[in-house]
Amino acid sequence: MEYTVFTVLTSLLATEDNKFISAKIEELENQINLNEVERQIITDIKYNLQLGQAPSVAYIKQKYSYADTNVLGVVITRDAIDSAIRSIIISQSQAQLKKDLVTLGSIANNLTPEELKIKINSILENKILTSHTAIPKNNLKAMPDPYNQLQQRSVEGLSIISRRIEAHAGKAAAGTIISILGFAGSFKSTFALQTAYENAMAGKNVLYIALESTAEALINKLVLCHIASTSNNRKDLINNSWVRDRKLTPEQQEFYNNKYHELLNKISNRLIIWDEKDIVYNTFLDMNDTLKKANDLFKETTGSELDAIVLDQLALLKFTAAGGKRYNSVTDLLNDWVSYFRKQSLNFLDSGRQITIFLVSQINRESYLEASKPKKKGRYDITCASDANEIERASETMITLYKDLDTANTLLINIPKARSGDVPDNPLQFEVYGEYSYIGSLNISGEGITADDFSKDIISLESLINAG
Amino acid sequence: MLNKFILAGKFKPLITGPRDKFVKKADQVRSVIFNNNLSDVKAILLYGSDTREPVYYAFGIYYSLLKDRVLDYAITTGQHFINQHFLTEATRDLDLYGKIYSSDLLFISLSQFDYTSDYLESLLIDLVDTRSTNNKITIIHYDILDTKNYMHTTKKLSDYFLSNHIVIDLTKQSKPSQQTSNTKAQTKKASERFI
Repeated sequence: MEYTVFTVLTSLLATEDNKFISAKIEELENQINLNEVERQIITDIKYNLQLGQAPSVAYIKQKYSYADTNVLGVVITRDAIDSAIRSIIISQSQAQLKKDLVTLGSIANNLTPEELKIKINSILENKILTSHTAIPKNNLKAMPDPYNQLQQRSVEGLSIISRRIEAHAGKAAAGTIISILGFAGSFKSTFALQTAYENAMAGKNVLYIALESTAEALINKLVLCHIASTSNNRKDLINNSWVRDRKLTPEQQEFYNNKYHELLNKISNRLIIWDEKDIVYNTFLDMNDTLKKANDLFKETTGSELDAIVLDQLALLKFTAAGGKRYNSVTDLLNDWVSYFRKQSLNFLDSGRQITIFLVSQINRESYLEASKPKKKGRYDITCASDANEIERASETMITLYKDLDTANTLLINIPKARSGDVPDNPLQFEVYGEYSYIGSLNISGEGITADDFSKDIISLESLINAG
Repeated sequence: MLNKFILAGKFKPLITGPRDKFVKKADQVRSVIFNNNLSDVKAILLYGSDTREPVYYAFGIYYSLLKDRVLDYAITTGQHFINQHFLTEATRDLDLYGKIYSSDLLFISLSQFDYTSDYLESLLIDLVDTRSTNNKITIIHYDILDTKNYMHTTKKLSDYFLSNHIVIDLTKQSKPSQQTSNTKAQTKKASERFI
């Protein structure tokens, strides 16, 4: 049977339960497209409710007799009212879908492929297409070894550059978003690229979406990062500016090439770097297509599926159509992208599989100025993201980067949000070598010094004074 | 573990005067540090009659290594601090004033010339207390000009340090070579707060 809003309203009044009537009227107003008469009836009912008593069924039927199509006088029982509302929603969504499809069909010839995608994307937002009718399984279920299953999940998580960070934030687990935030020039891309590099080297399939830089520039940085992480002699390190200015000696060029091949061999197709010219990402549908291609490529070359995506960086999605809606602001649009990636992390391309998303984003100017004060140096708080406030909610872990201007080669890393861990008392101090595209201590012997070395005079004060 | 180039670079601005003299003096302070257990100490009152930069250098390196972190530091004089204290926010050097309270390490130079008011001592004690509560290290270096009366002049300050922190008279420390056989001191008792 097809129910009408009028039938639902009179059936509600028949319950004579003011609280129930109020709650369901609110639901109707929020979820159903009401016509003018239906709105008027609701206003009438609400007015009477405010006076302390809902109107009688007879009163409404008499006053709005012209709208009463319920000639058989059907009354929906209290228990069936929710189902009736649901049925009206489905019916309205179906009608809207038909209308949208007919409209699209009539104008399809006049639309560009890009406009078509946006329209289709908008149609896909229809409730009839997004609602899931299957009853989900209860996740709270019997397991033979729940503790180990939980541990396995955390062991399988991805690395976040350093154990010192992981000691606070934990590993980057599947099904989560890890945001990497920093002001301009705070080594966000270096951090993101190194995260991708280390996880790919550890056998995880990582897609790096470079919207800020070219793939060529990133690949050069990746080689320099590989050199820095594998060299134990400072003479082997290659400075980014030497490559830029074509100053490498023939020996260095040969070394660079060898390291490039070594990197390729070790990574064995587990890292895909695509920049904006390689992919289409104007809408969610486009991005789905891109992600599917990456997943297919990983399956073909490595035999396993994609484990993580690094998006560098979120703000550059601001010129896209995203979900095809009419967005009131760039923030709304970027919030929608964050929600999109959150959904991908939880249910990658609707496959039921979870992946990890590393989201690179900008820090707002006010937070940067605040974090630059001596008292708060590098200590960003959770509200520092400038692009989208959805980042604060959707991120499992927020990692902020602050270039210490008082100390050379020093990066202060804070973790203002760690759902599976704790926030450090002070930002963590890391070495950073922009010229080598590397974050962390270099493995060069004789450059490290501990309190023990100093107390036992293994490294003399004189040598330290001369080193400066 | 810290990178020695980053650590050395951080404290390089403190290196002044002839290199060999600087090294010798800093090494002497280093010995004083390691012959006494200063790892839990949050504030030190030093009496010295020589250049203070090697002293600051040795302490800066020591505490950075101890905390496994290249520490931020600020240097001020007692006179400058009291002057700043009485200025309004509009005229105050906010950057330095902020660092006085929040830098990991603060070095304050004092001399008899700074003792223009008793208020300075109270102000310094309050500052040291605030910083100690926030786990920040403060080192006050009193430059001895009058070898007879310096303890008397700074009685209030030294009493405070003797009861709460530690006092080291660098003029009474042996040469580094004579101290190598000394064993490390254990946690100081109240009576051992004067070294």
